[in-house]
Amino acid sequence: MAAVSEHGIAVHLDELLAARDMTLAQLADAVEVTVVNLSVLKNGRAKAIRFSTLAAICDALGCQPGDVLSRTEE
Amino acid sequence: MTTSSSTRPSKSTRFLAGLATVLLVVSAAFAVLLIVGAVAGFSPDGHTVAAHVQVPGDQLTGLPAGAVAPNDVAVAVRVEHPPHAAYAWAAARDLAQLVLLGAALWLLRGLLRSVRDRNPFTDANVRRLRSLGGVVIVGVPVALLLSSFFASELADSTRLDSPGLMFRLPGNALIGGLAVLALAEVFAAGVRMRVDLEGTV
Repeated sequence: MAAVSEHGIAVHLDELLAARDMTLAQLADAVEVTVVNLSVLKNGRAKAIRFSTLAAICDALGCQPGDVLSRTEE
Repeated sequence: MTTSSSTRPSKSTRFLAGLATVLLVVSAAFAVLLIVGAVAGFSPDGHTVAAHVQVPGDQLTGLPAGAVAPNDVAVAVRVEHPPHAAYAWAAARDLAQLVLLGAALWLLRGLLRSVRDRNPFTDANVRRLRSLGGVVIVGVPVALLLSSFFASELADSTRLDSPGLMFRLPGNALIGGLAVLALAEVFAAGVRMRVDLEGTV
């Protein structure tokens, strides 16, 4: 189940990580973001994401931004 | 483990926070001295009090050529061994401004300590600055008015000719207070920016 931010943005990191059998710590290492910050994003508590972070996550997971984020009905 | 210079509070910040604490303690000690003196019958100067008295202008001498004395002049005089009530009025006159100073120092101390602790952009500091602005804009005129009233009562209690209430709107305090209120709104914007930044991954 994707975490949804207060602005109705769903974050699909859980599904992407599970599909690749990857942990959050491994992704944090690859993206060079702290596990704490990545956890904030994963749990839908982030208010914004830098393009550089999003690009690094896409590179590490081999996906597109639309696979990481989606808009949900509020 | 050493602390990097970027995370260590600057010397000036530590100095100012310490100075605010020292001034607050000195102010509190002086206030206690005034209150004890008012009750026991002495002033910080011993058994004299300073009072303002109104003197006819024609008693002024030594004015430069061409200068004309006003009708009345307020002069500060020292009264030795005044009646007991005079000590209380003198203490009240000084305490009116000392309480204001203490409140301002307390708020500044909190602000400086948060700067020292590297966390200035908080809601608490916005409240502190708004309170400080209020203290300056409202408190300074009120304290001056009260102080003038107590000074007038002091002169009366020593059977001197009181100049009455001497009050002028403190323009500097109003401008200073407005500047502090503007700074409070800058801090409020800083708090919002910090919250946004902390939510950015």
